Amino acid sequence: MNRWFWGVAGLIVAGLVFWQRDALFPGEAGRVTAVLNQIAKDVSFGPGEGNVGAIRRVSSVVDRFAPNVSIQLEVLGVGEFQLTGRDEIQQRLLAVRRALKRLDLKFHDIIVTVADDRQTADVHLTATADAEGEGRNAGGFEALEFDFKMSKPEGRWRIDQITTVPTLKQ
Amino acid sequence: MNSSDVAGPVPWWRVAAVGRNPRVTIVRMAVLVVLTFLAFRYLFVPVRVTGISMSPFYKDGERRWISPALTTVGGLNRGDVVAIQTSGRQVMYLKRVLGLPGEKIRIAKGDVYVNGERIEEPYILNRSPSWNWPTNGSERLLGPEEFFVVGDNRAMPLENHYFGVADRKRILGKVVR
Repeated sequence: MNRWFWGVAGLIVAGLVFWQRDALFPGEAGRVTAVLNQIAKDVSFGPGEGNVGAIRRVSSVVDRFAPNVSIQLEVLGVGEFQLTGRDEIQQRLLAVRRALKRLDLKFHDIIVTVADDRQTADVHLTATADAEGEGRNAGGFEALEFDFKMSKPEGRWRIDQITTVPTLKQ
Repeated sequence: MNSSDVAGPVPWWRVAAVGRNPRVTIVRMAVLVVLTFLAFRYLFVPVRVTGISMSPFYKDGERRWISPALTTVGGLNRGDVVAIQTSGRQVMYLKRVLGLPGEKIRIAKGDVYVNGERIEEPYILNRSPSWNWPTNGSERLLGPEEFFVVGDNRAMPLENHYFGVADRKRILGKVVR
């Protein structure tokens, strides 16, 4: 009986370890995922956040982009726009915070492909944003797919490029 | 007298944890886990509707079931409501299939034309006459693995409604309930 009891317990523990393997033994893909989830968390904000906290979190997000980062976005109902460099991203993030009362950005189904040299990675993910405010950004967006190109020049993963991936073709 | 004769009754907590026959319990557990995985992956996938693009028949917050297996067996037909995958299954678009592979599609003043003929859409309550697609006034010829999909809420402004052509590999399955 003891043998079977411990056998079942071992199987359950092995299953839990396998299920949470990325959290327990994070590889490069796990680190990239953690960086992206932290970015989504720092971009999000609630109605009660102060200026100091806002600037600190925006700086934290901007720090995760490469200095010459390029972002090409196509948002339904908003249109296409391009951002280049950290300064432009910082200004846009602060402008979004001024325009909205609340923003909840989430990344889903993050697929990370790390290159053999472990210095670059391609990421495919889906983002959803729930926003409250006035103007054309109010309401956020239902779901948008993005491709991220990332690199690790100084031991930290940074975003080099973001492009929108069309789920439906025209 | 062997060792099992002197072991005494099995404690209740062991029976609760692994059953009277642990070997049978393990086999049952394994079968149950596999069947549950297969059922929720291929037979019936639960989804929660968010947004208003499929209103009025699919309301924000409703729960529905998608069946990849029944879609593979029965195929896709005009009028089916399907779930379209993004980078995975956590977030999907729910749209209605209006155009099938090889057909020519056009939307003019809110009406949908397939191969030049206007189709009836009883599930549409209000349609905006400002809907025109493709914007150059031509028709869109669908490829062998392409389906034209649109939401039911055609009262929405065209620029706020996400619709277009979905590849078959992106369509997880149709809504069965």
